[in-house]
Amino acid sequence: MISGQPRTHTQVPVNIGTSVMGLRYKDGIMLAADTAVAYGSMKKTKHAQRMAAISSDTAIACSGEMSDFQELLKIFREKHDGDVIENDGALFLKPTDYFNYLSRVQYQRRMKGDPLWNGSIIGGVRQDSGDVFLGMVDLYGTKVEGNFLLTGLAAHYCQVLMQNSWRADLTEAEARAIIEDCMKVMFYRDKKASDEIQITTITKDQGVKIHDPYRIQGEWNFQFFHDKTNEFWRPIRIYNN
Amino acid sequence: MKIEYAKEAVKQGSTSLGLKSDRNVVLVSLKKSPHDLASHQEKIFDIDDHMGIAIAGLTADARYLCKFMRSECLNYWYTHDSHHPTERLVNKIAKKAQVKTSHPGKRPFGVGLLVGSVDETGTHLFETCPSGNYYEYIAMAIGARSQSAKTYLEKNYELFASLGWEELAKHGLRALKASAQETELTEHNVSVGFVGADQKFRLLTAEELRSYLAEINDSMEIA
Repeated sequence: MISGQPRTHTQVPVNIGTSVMGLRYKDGIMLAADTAVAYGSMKKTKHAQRMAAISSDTAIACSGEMSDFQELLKIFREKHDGDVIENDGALFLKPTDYFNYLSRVQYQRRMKGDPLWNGSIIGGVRQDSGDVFLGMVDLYGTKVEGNFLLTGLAAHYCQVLMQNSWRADLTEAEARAIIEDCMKVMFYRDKKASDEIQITTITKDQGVKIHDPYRIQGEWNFQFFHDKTNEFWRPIRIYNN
Repeated sequence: MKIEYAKEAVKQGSTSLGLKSDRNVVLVSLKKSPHDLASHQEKIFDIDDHMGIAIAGLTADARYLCKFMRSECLNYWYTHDSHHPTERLVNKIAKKAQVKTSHPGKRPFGVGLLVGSVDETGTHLFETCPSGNYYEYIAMAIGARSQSAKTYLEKNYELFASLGWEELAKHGLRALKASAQETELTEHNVSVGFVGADQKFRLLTAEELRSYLAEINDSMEIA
């Protein structure tokens, strides 16, 4: 920070998580993200959790600046605690309340010129009515609701893949297969993505369940790669030397 | 001591009462007119789609609290996209009222509110008090000569749970009639407001009131 100048280092993202995904399936909501956090182009850590439970029936997954994600979690924790502390017979904050609140927080911070640099997907299944909710908020506070949502590069690479394979009656296994498919595409195309992914499911019966991360298997052993590397590119480099 | 006087101000105000079923809350008030040529002072205010209040006591204080409640509901709607939970709003009023009881140079609110509302946890009828206390009821009457209305409500409250708002409103009007004594109930000096699980808060129109009043007047004469 330059002395005497306004603080600006919070206005650009530094430690960045790449795309997150969310989709509705038969039993509720599935959120997914990989576990890599990038510092510039370097993968600073490959085992970070980028999703969390906000309440017993609501969860969030974030792409973008990871310190801002932690700030969001702090804000949500305080919000949820306030709801519990009232102790008046019910928790009034539902998935839609958290979603709208997030949008207002994001918009306020954006208007301060100091946005929380995240694309967030909030999913929830109300324990009382069983209402299923899936929504996305960007760093300007824009709200989007949908049956499947993608942030970051995935919104460009996986949109059609999701469109073609999404159905309202997907089973958990089918939903997971679609997510893995999309994650594989992201791992191939997005240099900040990793092959270690994590999934959160929210269902009426089990509430929020954050599953352990696991690795998806990529295929790299194509003849194309051998040929390009060994016979085409290397001669050029030797030629230049 | 001030609180005792403030509670007295509530008792001086004309009767307001409220009653609720599983799905509806109805508020009924007897309005006073300061002069034959003056209009009647309104006593039931809508706060939000899911909430209304009936008052007894100083109207000025009630309007101040009403404005506060409306803005709290709007703020809650803005940040959460949902209705303000009833008891939490009543709690906010109670906090404001309590502060007024413990500062020299301040006076307590001279008004009691009946808050009728529907939220996630069902129908609610709350009474707030100048002292900062609040209570929840199935049916309650406040204000001058409210004892007769209370007696009516005590006799009948067990029937209320399953009733629709029309039937509740008739019970409310009969209870008010018990308190009104020689004053004749007309569409000019009575207000009825109601809210339901799938019905936004609204006041009955003069035509609706007239037909309900005619109905209860007929049935009372037969009884």
